[in-house]
Amino acid sequence: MAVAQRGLRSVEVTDGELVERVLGGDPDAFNALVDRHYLPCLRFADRLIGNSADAEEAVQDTFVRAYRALGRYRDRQRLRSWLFRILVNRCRTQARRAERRFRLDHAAGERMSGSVMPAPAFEGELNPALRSALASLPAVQREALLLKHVEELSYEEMAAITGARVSALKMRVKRALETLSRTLGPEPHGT
Amino acid sequence: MEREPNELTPVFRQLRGMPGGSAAARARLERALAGTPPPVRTRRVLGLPPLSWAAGLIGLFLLGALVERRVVQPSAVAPPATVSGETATRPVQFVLVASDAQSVSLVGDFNDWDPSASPLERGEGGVWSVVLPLRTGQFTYSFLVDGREWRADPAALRAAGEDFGRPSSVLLVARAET
Repeated sequence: MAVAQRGLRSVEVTDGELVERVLGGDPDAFNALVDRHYLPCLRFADRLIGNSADAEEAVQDTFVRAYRALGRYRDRQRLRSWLFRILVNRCRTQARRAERRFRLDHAAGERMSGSVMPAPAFEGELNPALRSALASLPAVQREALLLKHVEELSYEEMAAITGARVSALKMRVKRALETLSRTLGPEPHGT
Repeated sequence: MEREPNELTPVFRQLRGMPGGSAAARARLERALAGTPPPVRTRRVLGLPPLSWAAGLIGLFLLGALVERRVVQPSAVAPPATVSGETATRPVQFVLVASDAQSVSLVGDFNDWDPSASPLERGEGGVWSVVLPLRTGQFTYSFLVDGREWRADPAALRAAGEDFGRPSSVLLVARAET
């Protein structure tokens, strides 16, 4: 890959250095940032929204917005946290659109199988039981659970990203874990 | 890291697996980025972004004119302005009374929820304000107090999407009647 040939994917190059290169007139350096953060962003969007097309759209929107706003990014915060702040907002927007689509489809009498999430995202990535269990969680709990236990962020980072208080986030994660334990435990699923 | 219950270990192993993603989606993203103007570094003078200087000057003028209303109704204020064309902007003043705050930022759709983009200036009596030029349209926004506490605008409409837990408000910037 062209970016790799230029050495921009080296682990020694920090996100902050790549941002400097982009702002210095090297747009290819942003491709290296996309390479580094695309899949984690897609994973979060996919697990949260539950629809691959909507997840991809949310991630694309996130990177385009981040690219436009990169001049305002300050290295005081981790780039990943900054990206996730944008991503969380795009996912919320996409999730609401998906919910509206679901209601419209339902009102029109179309048959929907399973949960609120209408289509499996990235076929084969998650087994149906797990996807259904995730879909059954309230959106705020699903979001907090993914940020904490999949993206492995601290509660302070989560608070900055989501706007919720740390105490509320802890409660959401706790309730989500309880629900998943009841729904999915103790048998292993899809491993 | 705080650990999940043991019985959920296989579940989280699955959840942490990276999705494959699609080549078509990456290609669409690359095309979208190629069609996006390159970012421009925002230079700061005396530690403040240029927008805050412009906003401060406009804000001083508007605060003088709106001081009575501001104290009574701390909210986003879109003062009457003559605007022509879809791309025209109008100055919108955002005000929050927070005497206990050390810093207040305005975050919203218009600045990609970037806390560093639109800091508010502190005035007398703990009145924080900033003026932003905004295009016509509907925006969702919130105040970030001391970098951690999100507050909705107490005098504006609350955003409907608070199911995610962040208090936020809605601002409608209408085109001025000409």
